[in-house]
Amino acid sequence: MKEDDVNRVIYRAFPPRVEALPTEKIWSRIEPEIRPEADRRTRRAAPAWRIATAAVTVAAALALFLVRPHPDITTAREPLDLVLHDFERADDHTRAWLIEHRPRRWRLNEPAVVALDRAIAETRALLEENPGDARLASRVVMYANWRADLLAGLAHENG
Amino acid sequence: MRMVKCIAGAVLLGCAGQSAAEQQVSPLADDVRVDVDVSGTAVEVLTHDERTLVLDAPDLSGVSVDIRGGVVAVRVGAPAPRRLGLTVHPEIQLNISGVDSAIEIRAVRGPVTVQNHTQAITIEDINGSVDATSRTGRIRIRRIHGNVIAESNTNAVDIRDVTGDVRARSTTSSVRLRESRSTVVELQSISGIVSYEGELPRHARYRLGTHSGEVILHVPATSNATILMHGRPQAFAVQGARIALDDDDFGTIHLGDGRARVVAESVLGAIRVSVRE
Repeated sequence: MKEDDVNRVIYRAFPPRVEALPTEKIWSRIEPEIRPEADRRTRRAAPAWRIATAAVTVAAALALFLVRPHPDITTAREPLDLVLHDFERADDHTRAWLIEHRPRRWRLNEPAVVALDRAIAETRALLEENPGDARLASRVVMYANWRADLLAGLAHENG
Repeated sequence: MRMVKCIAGAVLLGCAGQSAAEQQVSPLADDVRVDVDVSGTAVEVLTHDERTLVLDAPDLSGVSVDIRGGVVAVRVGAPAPRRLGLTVHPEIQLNISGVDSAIEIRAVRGPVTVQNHTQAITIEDINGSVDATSRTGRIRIRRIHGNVIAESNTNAVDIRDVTGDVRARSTTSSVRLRESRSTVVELQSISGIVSYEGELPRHARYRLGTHSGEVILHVPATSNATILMHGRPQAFAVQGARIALDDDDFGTIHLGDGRARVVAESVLGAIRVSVRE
């Protein structure tokens, strides 16, 4: 039933006083006339909606199956969110799996990289307070090189 | 007699999960004997002339491989054995890498290079240079007649009794050196403790540095050394010697004729020097 048809039913039921009636009363009077058609519309729409939903569900399940995390990882987090803490808690088999599958972004969460980033930031802050301190400047360079070595090593480990 | 020489060098790898172990043996005049003792895995032995001998059996216990000269590579594929023991000629060049492999090397006369990811590395009684790298494993090195390079990202590096130069660093854990007779030493960490305990050779050039950890130095009072302390003066702690502070917040300790030179630096942490009688 189209919207105009519904309005026509409403007008037929309550031609002069429709606006004055409470909503519940309007609905109770028009419901028997509108509901069957509305149900039919719902039933007609349902298959397409359900097919779309089922397709999305199957696709999601397939995607999860294909990129599923290791069963030993009980957390519901994505592998991208794994941090070294998970690595150090994991058993040997899980560690091997993590080494093989861990994503690129995870490397930046490693404690050694985090420690170097902090050291670089802290030393830079000290250097701003003491601009002529060559010792601090050389430290920043050393930390930056150290960090580059570290990331290069991690990249090498992951092929 | 030949067999006695063959078992003089021993390499042990404790493996778990996926791992790979590779051993390279430099060309030798003498025969090289490699004894492989594993179970439930495939072992591939490649000779220098690219002849390939593949041993693949459910249980390889007791299998031994004799190889005459050349370069020997032993690669252990998945599934890895729980423990792989290699008894090799002592005068070899070892290049061993693993993933979750605990690696122990003892009594080798030749350069040793070791890399792994997660388990401990132990290297002892080596007459040659040592290069050990682990990402999260602890490194323990003892009695090395040669130079040492050691690095662990997140675990401790502990070195003792080395005659050659030492370069060691750990990003987030401690670096400790004891009883070294090295002339050149560089120990670095970012957030861990860096320490040296022992004599200072006459022409020593030692540098101990950390960013937010502590530097700890224990040296005998009979040393002939100048110890320079760089960091925050309020974090300097000296026992058994007098410290002189200059305008640049450097502390200096003079011992004997001051010929050896030690630089101890901690940007944010303490520097503790103990001079014992």
